[in-house]
Amino acid sequence: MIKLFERRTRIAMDRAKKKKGPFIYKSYSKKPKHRWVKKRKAAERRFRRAGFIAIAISSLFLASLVWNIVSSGRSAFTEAQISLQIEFQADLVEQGAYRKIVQNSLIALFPEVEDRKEKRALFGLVSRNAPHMLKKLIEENPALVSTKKDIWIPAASTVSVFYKQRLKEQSKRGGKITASHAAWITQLARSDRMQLKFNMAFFKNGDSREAEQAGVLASSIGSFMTILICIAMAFPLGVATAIYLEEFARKSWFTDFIEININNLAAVPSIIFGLLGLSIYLNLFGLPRSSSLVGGMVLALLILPVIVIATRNALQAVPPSIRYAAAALGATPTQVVFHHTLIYALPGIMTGVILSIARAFGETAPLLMIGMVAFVADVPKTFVDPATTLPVQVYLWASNPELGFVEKTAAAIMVLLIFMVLINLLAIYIRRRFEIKW
Amino acid sequence: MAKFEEWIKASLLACTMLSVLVTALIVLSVLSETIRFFSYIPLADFFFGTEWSPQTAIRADQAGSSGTFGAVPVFMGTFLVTLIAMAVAAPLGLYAAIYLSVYASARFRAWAKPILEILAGVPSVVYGYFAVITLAPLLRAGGDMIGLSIASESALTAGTVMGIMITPYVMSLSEDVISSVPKSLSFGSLAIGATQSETVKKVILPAALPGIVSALLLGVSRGIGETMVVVMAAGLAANLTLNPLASVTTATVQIVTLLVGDHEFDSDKTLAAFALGFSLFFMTLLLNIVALIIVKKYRERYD
Amino acid sequence: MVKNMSAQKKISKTESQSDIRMKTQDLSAFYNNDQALFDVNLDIHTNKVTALIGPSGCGKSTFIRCLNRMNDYVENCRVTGKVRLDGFNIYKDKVDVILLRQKIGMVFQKPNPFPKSIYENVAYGPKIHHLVENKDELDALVEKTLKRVGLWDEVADRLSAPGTSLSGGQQQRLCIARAIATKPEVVLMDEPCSALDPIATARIEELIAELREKFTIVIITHSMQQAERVSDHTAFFHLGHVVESGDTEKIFNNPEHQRTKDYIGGKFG
Repeated sequence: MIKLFERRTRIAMDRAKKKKGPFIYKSYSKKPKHRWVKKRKAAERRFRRAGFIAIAISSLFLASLVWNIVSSGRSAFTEAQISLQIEFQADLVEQGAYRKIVQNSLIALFPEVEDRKEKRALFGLVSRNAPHMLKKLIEENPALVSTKKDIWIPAASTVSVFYKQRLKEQSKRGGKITASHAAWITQLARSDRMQLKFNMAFFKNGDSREAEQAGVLASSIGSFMTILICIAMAFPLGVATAIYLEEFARKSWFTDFIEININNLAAVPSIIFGLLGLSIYLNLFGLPRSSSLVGGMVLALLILPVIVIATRNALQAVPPSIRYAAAALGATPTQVVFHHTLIYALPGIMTGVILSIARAFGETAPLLMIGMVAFVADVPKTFVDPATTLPVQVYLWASNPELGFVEKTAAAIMVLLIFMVLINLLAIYIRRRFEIKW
Repeated sequence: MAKFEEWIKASLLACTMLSVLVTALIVLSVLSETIRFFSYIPLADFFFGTEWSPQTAIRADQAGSSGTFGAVPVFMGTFLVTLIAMAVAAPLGLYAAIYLSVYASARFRAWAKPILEILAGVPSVVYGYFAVITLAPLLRAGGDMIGLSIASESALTAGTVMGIMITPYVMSLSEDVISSVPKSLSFGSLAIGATQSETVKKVILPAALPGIVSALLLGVSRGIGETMVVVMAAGLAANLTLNPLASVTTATVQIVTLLVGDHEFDSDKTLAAFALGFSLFFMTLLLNIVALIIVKKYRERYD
Repeated sequence: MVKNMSAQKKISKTESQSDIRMKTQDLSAFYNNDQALFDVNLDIHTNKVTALIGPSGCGKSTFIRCLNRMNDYVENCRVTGKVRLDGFNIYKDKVDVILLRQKIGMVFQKPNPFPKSIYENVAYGPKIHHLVENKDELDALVEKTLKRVGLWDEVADRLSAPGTSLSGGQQQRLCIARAIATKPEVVLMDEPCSALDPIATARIEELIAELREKFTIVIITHSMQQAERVSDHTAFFHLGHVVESGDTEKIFNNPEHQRTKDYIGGKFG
């Protein structure tokens, strides 16, 4: 019997050696069982791999999102410019016909263009803002009148996109553009009359109908004003509510009710808060539509429950022994809270508040409801001026089919994400630096 | 001194009451508009009607001057998109949570968790842009290759992107639940020679099931209320279909289209948006309350 | 205020009781419906150390929390009977617990310094009770108090370091300093050494012996040896009753009750 077993084992060993690698037959179990173990281990590996793949897919998605946005938005930070020899004819300057001046210099460059339609296409090479630019130049320096000068003029957005893509890919393929435009651009590029410059307009301007003139300044300022209102309203209200519930209120049906209420409020879809803003702030109180004031007040309602919950968690993290120690010294209940509990919970509270601000910063839907989708070219000066925010600007540009706006959208998203990262880094810094470990 | 104390307490209480008032205001404002809507349009027409065309004619005497407000196709679209989203988010989020809490090394966690948190922090408008610019053309090209025609504003596009968006949310909720299962339970299983995956499937998941169900419910509630992704990636026309390749509309999309740019406030059209909003509010509230109750029951079992 | 009224009361009492600082009369405590203390009558003598001993859950901690009304913070806790400080019942409605706790300091089981600077930890009590006029006085008081607990030499050069940066024994001495900085009459200590190593414990015990000159001390301890070393009086608690109380020497060498004998002899614990 024993001999038989030994023989079998030897056979199994030999077979395993022949097949591959070292002998793994460690247990005394018979073969079928061994197969079970193998199966179980395979199942284990599969399960583990599935988990890893799930994380990999999510990370991959993040990577492709970032890559996508950076690769299509990067080009928006540069703009193509065309060098034109501008002749500031005195009579034209006097009439204010700067458009004519620009057109003349273009015709001077391409004298062979005769056809009216072709001419209009030619004038489309440069930004529609060019006459305005020249006017400004003359105002700053009247001595220019009746002189000739080479000036770099921003190209139209389609031209700009085409030129940038051609530079990148070194091929004839580019954005959608007419054949004659393509030929002119080639000619201009060959005679060194085109260059790429950092696109200051993107950071200096508000929204514009012309893609090459559109910028994020107005919407960024609008975002900050909105957030300012939002903090001013939600922070004191939320923290006070949390302090009352956590430190003063006796547990009763009423506090239970408030608690359930606030927990549920945190999960209400954001668009509902927009409806609230529309019907209460705009229709009932008659506050100005599209203003950062109303936007901030709507977002405040949105993050109020989040702040309450974060503050309560931070207060709960302060051990009761600290409260007892203060009380045993004869501190009054409010002294206990305001000298100790609140102070020690403050880093945690701030972290929660900042993270909720990040959420408000990226919020779009409720702002659509209260009319912050208006076209805003100017930087809002007061809280009741029409304003828009960065995410809303992204939404507006994303729905604009014009080619120049595609890269602008991606670039605006980059700006938005950079702000988000900064806000989050601030929260992480505060947590790392100030949080008290109990 | 004592007076000062009382004064502080009173002002804190006042703030609390104000916060509560906010909730009451939401319900009341949306509810009152909804009631007004239902005084024009019968309840049954809204909840059982299968035709949704709220665009009223310009002149009152024209034919079809009042739109039809049968919300079934709208809710159906919401349902379809959310379903697709959960089909993406539930397995991804759950498997990721299990991997992170059971298998991952500390170093891997330190890398993976922030990445998933970043994913959760990206504004939804960015996801919407991604859906329109990248995923929709990709899916359409893929569909063409295998001979399927996929609408550019298909439910599949919107649902997939929404699913990716909800994944980190589902993941962090389920991870909390899984890590709150007492270690002694899984040690018991491992000690009798079960593999990790057997322990997870036979011991941890059954124990954590209520918590995971509530995590999924909260995910669904997020999906129902999500606006920007569907506004940008889903359609406007209300088609009564369950075909994921077709274009559908959702309740949130309709609210946005009905209210944006419209200054007039008394038409059936704008009031219909409030009726949709209230239905959304009610649905998410229900889901949250059920999820909270389940979690509470579950906590009691292990505390 | 408490002092004035008690002074009048004291005169009306018999002279022999004047060395009794605190006194409980039929003190009972309940958590919901569970009674934790049963009609405790105990005297706490002025400038003496009273040790409370007994097995876990016998009501020592409940009792000590009754003495400065910290039980007010424990939910569902109800106290009946009287606790007299200098003859004056501290459970009367008009008693200001804030002033009461200035008179009765407390040191907790685990060191719990505020996460503020060492200086701030000590200065906090005098500040809120307005015991000092200006910064100089406060500095002097902090220095005096830290010297009294023997911490001054160790921390003089880093008073602005956080209190939590000290070692366990130092933290506990800081907590004692914090408690005595408000110039209390009585200091309650709830197992002050249970979280400390033997050397730090010895240091605290020395400190208690020194503080006895100035303060009346009530200390809960689990260590029989510690009770014997530091206390003048001992009370043995069991199941919410005071089984026996009196001079430490007598309780340890010649207890009246069998249960006391068993506990001290280590038969249960």
